[in-house]
Amino acid sequence: MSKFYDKHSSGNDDSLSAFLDGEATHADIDALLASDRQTLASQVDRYHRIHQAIQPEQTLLIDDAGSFLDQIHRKLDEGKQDTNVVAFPTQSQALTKPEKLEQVTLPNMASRSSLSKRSVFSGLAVAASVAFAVVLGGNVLLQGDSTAQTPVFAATPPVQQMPTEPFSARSAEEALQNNERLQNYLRQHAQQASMTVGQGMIPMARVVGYPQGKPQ
Amino acid sequence: MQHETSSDEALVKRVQNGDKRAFDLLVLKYQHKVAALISRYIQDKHEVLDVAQDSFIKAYRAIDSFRGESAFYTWLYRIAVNTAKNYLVSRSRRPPTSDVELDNEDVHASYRELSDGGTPDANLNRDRLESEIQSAIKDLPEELRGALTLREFDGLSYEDIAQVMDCPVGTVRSRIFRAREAVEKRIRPIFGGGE
Repeated sequence: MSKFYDKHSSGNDDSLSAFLDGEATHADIDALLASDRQTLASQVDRYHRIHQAIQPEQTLLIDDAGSFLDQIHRKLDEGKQDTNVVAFPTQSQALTKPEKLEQVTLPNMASRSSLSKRSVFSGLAVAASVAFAVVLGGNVLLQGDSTAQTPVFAATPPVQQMPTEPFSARSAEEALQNNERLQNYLRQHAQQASMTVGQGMIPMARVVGYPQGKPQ
Repeated sequence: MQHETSSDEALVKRVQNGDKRAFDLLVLKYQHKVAALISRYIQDKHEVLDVAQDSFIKAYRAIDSFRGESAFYTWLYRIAVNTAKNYLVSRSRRPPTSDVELDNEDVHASYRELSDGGTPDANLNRDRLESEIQSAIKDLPEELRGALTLREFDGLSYEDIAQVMDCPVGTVRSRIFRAREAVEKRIRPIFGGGE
């Protein structure tokens, strides 16, 4: 019986059959590579039909292997760029038993809405914190002057009142005078503050300990 | 499946050396497996085919990164699963929470409910085809039918079939091929190939 079938074996003709069964040799592959693509594809279709008939609960999704192959070639030729981002498995990732892929989930509309609300509230909180810090900082700078409750930046002249003429020697002199006046004011202010604020008691105590007639 | 691994590796090496025809063979071999796998994620037949094609295209473009440390199909499997999942995400559809395990994958068990939307004529032809194939298989000699059934239904390797049938592996190969040829001859007119 073996002789009978071996005699009728038709050389390279059974290469495709063996190839689809995962039993092809290198000689089979050489034979298949020399074959016409469409002929092979038609043969593959018929073999898969047979397979489907033996296992009728299955559905063949690809009716025309030749057309399927042609479309792949066309897309390759067109250089069609897929917008999907695919992480190609590296060899180390391509295990015999694949690990779970990271689950990709899309936020639904409700969670998107809550996300935007959250960001709005956090933005408001940051703005309020900044405003509070500015006001507090201004008050600290004006500490000791009970009449000055406005923040420092409010005392600066409006933009339209700023001098617009170019910088000159005269304006430089004015700036120096202004600076000197400011320094005098700050010195006097510090002296007054040390008299009225509790923190200033220690310097005063030291003054008391000095001999009379010696200015500090 | 030593043959399968070595033949795939040989084909991959050829593709890496620029032989596009070798990739055609890999497509022909695995197209149904890949389509069946993707059909676990996507229900529409046309989308399945589109994603299957994209998977092969991505595999082709990334073939240089394949170094043979795993089986080619294992590598292709992951590309196909990733492509299917990314396709669902791009369509704002949620991918399934669990993957089809490669080890447990019943690759040919596609869904009957995955309707191809065939016309009544097409469905009639398909039924006629299936009936003709069943009839042709019944008419096969016992040795041929046995070898074909062990291969197609039970999924045994040629070597295992040779042990079951107590014959050389070459004989098994020949029987399976001859069985397919005999059935194919019966269905060729339905396919329009004529004879």
